[in-house]
Amino acid sequence: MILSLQRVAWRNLQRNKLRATLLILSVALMTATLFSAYYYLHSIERSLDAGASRMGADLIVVPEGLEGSVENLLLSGIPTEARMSANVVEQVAHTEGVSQVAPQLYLKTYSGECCNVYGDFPIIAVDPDLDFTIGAFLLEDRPLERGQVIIGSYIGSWDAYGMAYQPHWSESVRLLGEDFRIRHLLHRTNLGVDKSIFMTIDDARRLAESHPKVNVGAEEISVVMVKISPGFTHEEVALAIKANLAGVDVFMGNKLAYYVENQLGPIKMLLYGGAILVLLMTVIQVLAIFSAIVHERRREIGYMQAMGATKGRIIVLFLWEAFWASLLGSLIGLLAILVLWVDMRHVLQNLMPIPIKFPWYGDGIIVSVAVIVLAIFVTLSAMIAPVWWSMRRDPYQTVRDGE
Amino acid sequence: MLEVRQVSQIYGKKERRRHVLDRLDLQIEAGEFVAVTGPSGCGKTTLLCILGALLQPTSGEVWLDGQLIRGINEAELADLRAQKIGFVFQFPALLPTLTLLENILLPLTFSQGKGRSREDGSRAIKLLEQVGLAGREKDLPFTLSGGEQRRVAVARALINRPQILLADEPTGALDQGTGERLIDLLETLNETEGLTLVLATHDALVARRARREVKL
Ligand SMILES: Nc1ncnc2c1ncn2[C@@H]1O[C@H](COP(=O)(O)OP(=O)(O)O)[C@@H](O)[C@H]1O
Ligand SMILES: [Mg+2]
Repeated sequence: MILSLQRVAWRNLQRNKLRATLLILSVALMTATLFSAYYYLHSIERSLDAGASRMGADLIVVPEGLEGSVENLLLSGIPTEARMSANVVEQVAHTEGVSQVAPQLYLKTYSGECCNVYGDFPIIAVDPDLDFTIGAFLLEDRPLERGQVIIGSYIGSWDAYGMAYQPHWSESVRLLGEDFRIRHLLHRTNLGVDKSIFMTIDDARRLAESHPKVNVGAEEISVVMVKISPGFTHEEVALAIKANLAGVDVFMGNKLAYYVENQLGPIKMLLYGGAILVLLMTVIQVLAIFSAIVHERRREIGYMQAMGATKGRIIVLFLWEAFWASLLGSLIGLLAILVLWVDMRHVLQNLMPIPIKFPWYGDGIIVSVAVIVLAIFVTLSAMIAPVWWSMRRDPYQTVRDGE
Repeated sequence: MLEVRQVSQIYGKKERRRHVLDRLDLQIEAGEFVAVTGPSGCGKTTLLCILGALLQPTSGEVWLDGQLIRGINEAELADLRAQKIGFVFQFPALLPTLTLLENILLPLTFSQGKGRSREDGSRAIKLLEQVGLAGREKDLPFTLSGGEQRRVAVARALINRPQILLADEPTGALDQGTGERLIDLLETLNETEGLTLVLATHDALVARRARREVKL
């Protein structure tokens, strides 16, 4: 019959159930925090890394002579009457290094009520077959159809955001005397998009024809969003487009990613700072708990040495105890946070200025394992000091203690 | 088999210096039953710990089985304690969440596979019988009285088949009858197995049971 150290450690952990529970809970909390912080940021970074396509376009072709912040213009739909010929789309598409083009047309600004929210909402038309900008802000890849609109999250308001995921959700908005069914809501972006209404270019043209006040020519567009092929730089392609076409300006869409990244800075710091604080607190807690454990068992530690245990073996025994506690704690923490994440996904997504596509499974497992390993490592490291400290004296002294 | 030559133990520094043992000579032969006596604070525990290689004396030599215990590293010391010496302290200090059987097996857990075998389990059961607790291997320590717990501690000290058993106030805090039965047990082990016994006590009644008394 063999009684292993890990088994003795496991039993030792059960000696004081309350204390063990507290230890396990603090490891669980740390794990949950680490996981959240890392996973959240990981998700965000993934989204940003996915490239400008998600945030807009690599390049944006606009009519010549536009002043001001073009990023804002394009994503917010701040009204501009400047337009150019739809031929530009074809010409840009044939430029070397261009892989995708998507025209957008600013129609007009709708002032009124939509989903109980009042305001001025620019209407932007997109070509559903070509568009790659709005889709990135949606969870589902359902194309926008005739008679439908997609609205920014501000218009939808927070209530509607949750509602939009209900299969029977149905709202419509009356624009220029026509009812449009709200197809979906965009993720909150904290950009102008939040206040925009998107419809198809066909619908927009039809509306323009029947409303002479809307001053849009039959073959006009406002901008062309461009995605470039791999292997080409933004600058190269921008120059090529400008050389090919007269009367246009080309802007680089990747500036937008920087903008969002800047916005994310404080959030990142907050999350990482919080995670580090929780980690430190756990270290202190483990230190405190194991100091107490070791103090309580100091005589026993002396006896173990008398039984023929080396200091090393005794440390290994305590390491196992800390290992069991941290393994349990990290598993519990992880499980709890996973349930919470799955449950709160939509809410969390809505809280963020950019759309987050959560990396489930593969990446999730890697992050989980990493967090568990870290939690165990932190606990074990914090535990060694008090145990080692307790054995600095001769075993004789600990054996005499309390006589 | 155990020899102490000119051993002194000094605690503290400068004005707080205190000679606890002063050039002590002592020789213990295999199979002896020796009681170390004296009032509380005279250095009985100190001596036992020196004998058991738990404490290096300030000066003097300790020879165990013809080997000088000095200048050997921690692992060798631990080995020596594991293989040759059994300790019974005033407090049994059984691990509360291990069964009696597991408590008895605990010293083997620390000797890192050395001397571990399948027979360990049956040997532990036998030891439990020997100390009068047959059939209670699966019980937890809290179900035992103080005297019974000390018996388990004796069995635990014997699992490694030591040549010498060092017992520090094993009857401390026990009532007289229980204490005497524990000494009975130790005496039996000494007589039937030839186990060398060194027992520290401040109790004259206990001391009288030994073959030889060393007064400190
Ligand atoms: N580290 C130490 N520093 C100073 N004095 C000590 C130390 N350890 C033990 N002593 C003293 O040594 C004396 C002998 O202790 P001990 O061997 O435990 O005696 P006994 O077991 O006979 O009661 C006691 O007076 C004790 O206070
Ligand atoms: Mg003593």
